[in-house]
Amino acid sequence: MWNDQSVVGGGFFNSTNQFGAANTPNQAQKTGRRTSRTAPIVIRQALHSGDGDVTIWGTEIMIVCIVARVRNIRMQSTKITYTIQDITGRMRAVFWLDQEAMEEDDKSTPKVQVNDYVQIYGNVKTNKGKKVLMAFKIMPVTDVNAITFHYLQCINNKLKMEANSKKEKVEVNPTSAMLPANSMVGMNDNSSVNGLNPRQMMVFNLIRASTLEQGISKQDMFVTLKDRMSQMEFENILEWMCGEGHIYSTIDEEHFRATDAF
Amino acid sequence: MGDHDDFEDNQYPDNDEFVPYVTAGNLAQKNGAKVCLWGKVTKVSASEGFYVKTVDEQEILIRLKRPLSEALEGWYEIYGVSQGKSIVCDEYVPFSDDMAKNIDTEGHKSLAKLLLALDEPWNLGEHLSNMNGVTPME
Repeated sequence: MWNDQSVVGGGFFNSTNQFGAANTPNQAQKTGRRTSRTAPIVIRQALHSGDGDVTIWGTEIMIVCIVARVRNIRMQSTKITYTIQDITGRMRAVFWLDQEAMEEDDKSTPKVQVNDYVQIYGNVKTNKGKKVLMAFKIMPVTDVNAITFHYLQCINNKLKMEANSKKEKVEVNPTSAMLPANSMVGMNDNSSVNGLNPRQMMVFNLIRASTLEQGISKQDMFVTLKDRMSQMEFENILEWMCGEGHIYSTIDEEHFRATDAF
Repeated sequence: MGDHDDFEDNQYPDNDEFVPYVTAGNLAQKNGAKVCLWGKVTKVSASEGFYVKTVDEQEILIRLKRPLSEALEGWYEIYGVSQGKSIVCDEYVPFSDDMAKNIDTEGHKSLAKLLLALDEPWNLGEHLSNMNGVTPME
């Protein structure tokens, strides 16, 4: 049904395995407005975020990745506080120390010195009005290109999420501006009373036309549609219509019926 | 919870100052502004500072406020104020040879160009323009 898009290809658990690589795993981002598990950000974005997680153009980011230079390190018994700086600003990152691991060896203490570049994964938290990065993984940067790459990725992300959020707004607006979706008024093929655009109407009409109890399958629909739209657009439309309540899946995720069908 | 001793870094307080990467090509545009430059040391001048070759293959003078006390070699990240054709250096940070061995100069050049061209590359979206995290230090 609603495939868990926020975990496609990435997500927290997958990214743990990739900690060996210097690059950031950002495959978790899909369409905007989903909770994105990890994303690269810059310090300025962390500082400007509201209460709770960082949100970029509607996409909440739970785990962030920051590439920055260490300006200052302060060791305490329970934690290490780093002051990190990138080209957009400066903030603190706190790395909590695990007592047990410390006793064995200080393998748990990151091998980081002042003026080193590091890659930090963590959560942005607010503490007494100030933003702090609660770090759970700190790795030294081993290639300067990772720094360039990180900034380019951040820019790309922001632009992608901005575009996504604007696209969603345009699609959703007709629905709210028009009559409620369940209205029985003029159910003609070409009306936009339901708030569906012509592309969505194409798919919807196919589903509506099915007289089978289990509805029509994705495969059958796509046979008709494949010349006119891409697989991805088709899937997106189906998903959106499910979310809006125009269609529902029946015997499995491949078969759909329309809620307005008679 | 327990630890009330929040480390407020007085020497390096939080800020959201944007110091963009530049290349020799756009240094002039940023005259008077704080910039950050990557360069490989070509020669050292006792009186002025040192010269670096940038990612766009030009030589730029880095003026130092204090005379050099160490040998300089390899790639550095230089922070300072642009003076059009040179930079007055606030600080410089070395990149180890290992880190910089495959440095992608084209990529970095593009990044610098992008940063100059984009208005607000880091803005978070229309609903969140408040600066919650950045409050003046007491």
